[in-house]
Amino acid sequence: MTETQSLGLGGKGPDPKPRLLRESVVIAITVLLGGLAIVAVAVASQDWEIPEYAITDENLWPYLLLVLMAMAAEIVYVPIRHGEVTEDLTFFEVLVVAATLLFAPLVALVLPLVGFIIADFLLGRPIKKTLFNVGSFALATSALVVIYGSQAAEFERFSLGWLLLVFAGVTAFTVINLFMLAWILSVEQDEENRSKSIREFVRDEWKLSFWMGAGSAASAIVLVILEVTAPVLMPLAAIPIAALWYVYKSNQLRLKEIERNKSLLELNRTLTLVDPRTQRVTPLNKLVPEAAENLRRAFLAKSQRGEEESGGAVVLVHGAVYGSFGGKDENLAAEEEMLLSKWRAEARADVTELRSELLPKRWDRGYVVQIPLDSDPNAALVIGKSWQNKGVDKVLPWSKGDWEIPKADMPILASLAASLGGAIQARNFFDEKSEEAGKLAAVVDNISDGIVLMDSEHRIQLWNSAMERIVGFAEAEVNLLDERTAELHNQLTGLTQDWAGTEPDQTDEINSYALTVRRADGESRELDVVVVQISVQRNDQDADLAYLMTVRDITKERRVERMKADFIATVSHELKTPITPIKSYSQRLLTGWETLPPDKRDRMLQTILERSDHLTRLVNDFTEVQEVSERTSATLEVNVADTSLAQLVHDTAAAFPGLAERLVVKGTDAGVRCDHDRTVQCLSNLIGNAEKYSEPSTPIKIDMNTAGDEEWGIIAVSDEGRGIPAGELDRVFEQFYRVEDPMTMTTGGSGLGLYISRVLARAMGGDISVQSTLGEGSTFVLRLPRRLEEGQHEKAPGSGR
Amino acid sequence: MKRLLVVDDDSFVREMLRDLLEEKGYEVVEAEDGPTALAAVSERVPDLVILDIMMPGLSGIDVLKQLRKKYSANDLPVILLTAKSDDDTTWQGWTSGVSVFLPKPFDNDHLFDWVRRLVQEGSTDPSASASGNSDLGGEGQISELGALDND
Repeated sequence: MTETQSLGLGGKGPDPKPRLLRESVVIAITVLLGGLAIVAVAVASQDWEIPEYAITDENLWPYLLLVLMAMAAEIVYVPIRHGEVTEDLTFFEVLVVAATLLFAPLVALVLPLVGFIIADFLLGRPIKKTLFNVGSFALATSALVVIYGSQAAEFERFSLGWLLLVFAGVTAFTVINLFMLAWILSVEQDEENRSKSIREFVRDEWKLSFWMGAGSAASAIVLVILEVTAPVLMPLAAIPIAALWYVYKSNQLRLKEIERNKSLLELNRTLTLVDPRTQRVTPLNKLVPEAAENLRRAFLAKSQRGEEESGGAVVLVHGAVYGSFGGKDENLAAEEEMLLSKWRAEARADVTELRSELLPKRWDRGYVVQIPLDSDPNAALVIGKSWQNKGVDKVLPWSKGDWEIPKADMPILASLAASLGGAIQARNFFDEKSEEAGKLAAVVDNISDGIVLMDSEHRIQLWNSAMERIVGFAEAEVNLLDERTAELHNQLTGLTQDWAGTEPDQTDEINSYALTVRRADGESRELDVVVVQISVQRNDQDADLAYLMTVRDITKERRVERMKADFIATVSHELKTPITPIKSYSQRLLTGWETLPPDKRDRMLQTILERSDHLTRLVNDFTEVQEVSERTSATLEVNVADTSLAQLVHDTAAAFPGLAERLVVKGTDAGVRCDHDRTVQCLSNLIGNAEKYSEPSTPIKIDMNTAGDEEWGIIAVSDEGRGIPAGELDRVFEQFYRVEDPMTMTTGGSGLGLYISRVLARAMGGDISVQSTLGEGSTFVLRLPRRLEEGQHEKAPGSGR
Repeated sequence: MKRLLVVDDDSFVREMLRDLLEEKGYEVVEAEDGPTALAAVSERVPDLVILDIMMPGLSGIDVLKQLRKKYSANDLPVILLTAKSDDDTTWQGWTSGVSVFLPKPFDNDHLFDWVRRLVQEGSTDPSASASGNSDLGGEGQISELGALDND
């Protein structure tokens, strides 16, 4: 009785080329060693004494029988899976041991190999498999033959020494065989994560090998005893052989179970909506191929030819799974065609109708839909369809060759089919909902208004990014309720109080509130909050009460509103003040012209005239503001011409005869290019402001320079007045803005001077900036483009012409 | 001769008030802003203060509040001249103890009526200030008083 182990070559690897090369090297070495071993045995065995009990017949039939037995031992095999490759357990080892004990050494070595080669040829096994196995067995059998054959004559048959000799030989055979097997399998098994080293193989397999070695030795000894004592009883040797075969078979089932469990565990992971390892949802287009691949591993079939078929699974799935299907009976035919053409078009599926004898019970129709799996061109997912048996899905293992469905596998396959069907449906549903939720989330997150959803316990359930931008706090921060956000949360909670005690859906009231909140950066914001009470469906029965708040930041609008109100008040005050003397003097002149001395009359008329002119100037000013407000710096008309800093300062100062003593002009002159009148207007504003906000005793400094810069001419107007608070520096150039309270506003202030000045300066390609220290004074810096040299571009930037 | 203090940052208005009131036989003292006015009052208390509201630095309302710390409306009547007659200003004026509001531009006769009334009777007739306090509508109130004056 012998053991033969052959290997399966059906495995697939990501890169088969190096594997094939290494495999060929291993096979070549094995064959070479085997050949050398046979030659060595042939030479050495001539000196060995052949035991008298050895069969040395002149007849041919014992040798023919040996070859036939070897063939039989090889053909009856039990496949054992090692992941992607299969090891075949046969009785070749039993045969080799028996032959060694019964025949001359060279005969025991060569004839079984002849039978082995013939058997492999008949089975149609690949040549390289046969080559390797022959080499490996030649090597292992040589060791057995050398140990036994060289020493057998020294011991009496069936003595203790003889038995030890037999077991020593078998041990050598088993060790060599195990090592060679481990070697070739380690080369084969290089698919991702399934690779095993030689050591790991030996560790996993040595027990089985040695038990089988012992069994083979025992069976062979029994065979020899029978041959010597009662050749008639030799067929009884089949009993231990059958027992051994049963051991093989059980072991094979055990290993198959382990492999299957691994694949099913993997399948289970695939079917889970969220992959527990990656925490990601397995998409539908991955779910089906992965499930099929795991089914293929779990129910891998093996053809009689000893080659792995690129198997698949027959997945008989209810049509409704793909969503577009599952309508009424009268439409079944159309829907059937639609589904099939969809599979054909989208999944490159090969659709064939199932033959009726292949259909499971109570199925009247079924299709085999072969969807190629990209990872392996030979593998396919096969989907069949039952049109009447709705709701029962079936998964059947499939291999290219035949349609046999192992009955024992049916229960587990049926439940797997249901799981797969359910998983596909769940995934479909999930995908739909995800898309829906994704759209909503995109809307909520991209809308310009803040959106807040607050539940009845006043927890924030939704806080979109606009809200985060408006108040500067993220949702998590607001729900923390620390000292930074507690007030904001309280304010929002306060808005829901109007609904206290009302039942959901009893009111469709929409309330709008004005709220002033403090941002994360401390800035104050004015919000317009619209609150509605809604009910949020939690499941079929329950709904939660919640408040939906739409938040708009109206800080800017409010500021403009206030500015406009200020502007109106300012206009009113500015106009009424000069009108007062006009009206009173006119009245006085009318009621008693002749009672007034002429000089007094003249003075009164003079005042009326002067105040009227002032009124005209004011009205012009307001009109101009209107104009600058409506246009931008880029479109404002300015007449740019060459002039100089000193000229501008001189012309401006001339308009302030009363300030002659306070103005301190210094610095270096430089040519600039600007609108003369507009620039004088700007400078007048700056000087007027300096006068307005400083004590009459303090100087107003005008500093001209180029600041070492070829590009800009600079005029800085500094006062030693009250200064501007740092927080308001940016705002002084805003429309209608005044540092002071409107109640205490100075006569000339319209709150528009700096605004107009900056717009004009920018229109001329320059700018106005300010530095100030509260209580020490302010410096306004007017920057103008330098006069252009020849060859440079003629037009000043922003001239707008 | 009754002494009037005219407080306004606009020199034209001050000069005009001086012209009109001096003709009527009053002594007119001018101040161009709040602090100057307060200094003038503490130097010598006038019979009446005509006070502009919108002034740089101290506003007319602020000056009024300062005055009311020392002088009651009976002791020192105050006319507030205002070019801005919004509710807030009016409210501040009344709560600060103004005797009467006179909106700019005003009618000369109304000015004279009020000045005469407040200077001659204001300190002794509480009903005058009471009637002023009860009616915020400047024009109607002034014409009513003008009618009284014609008696």
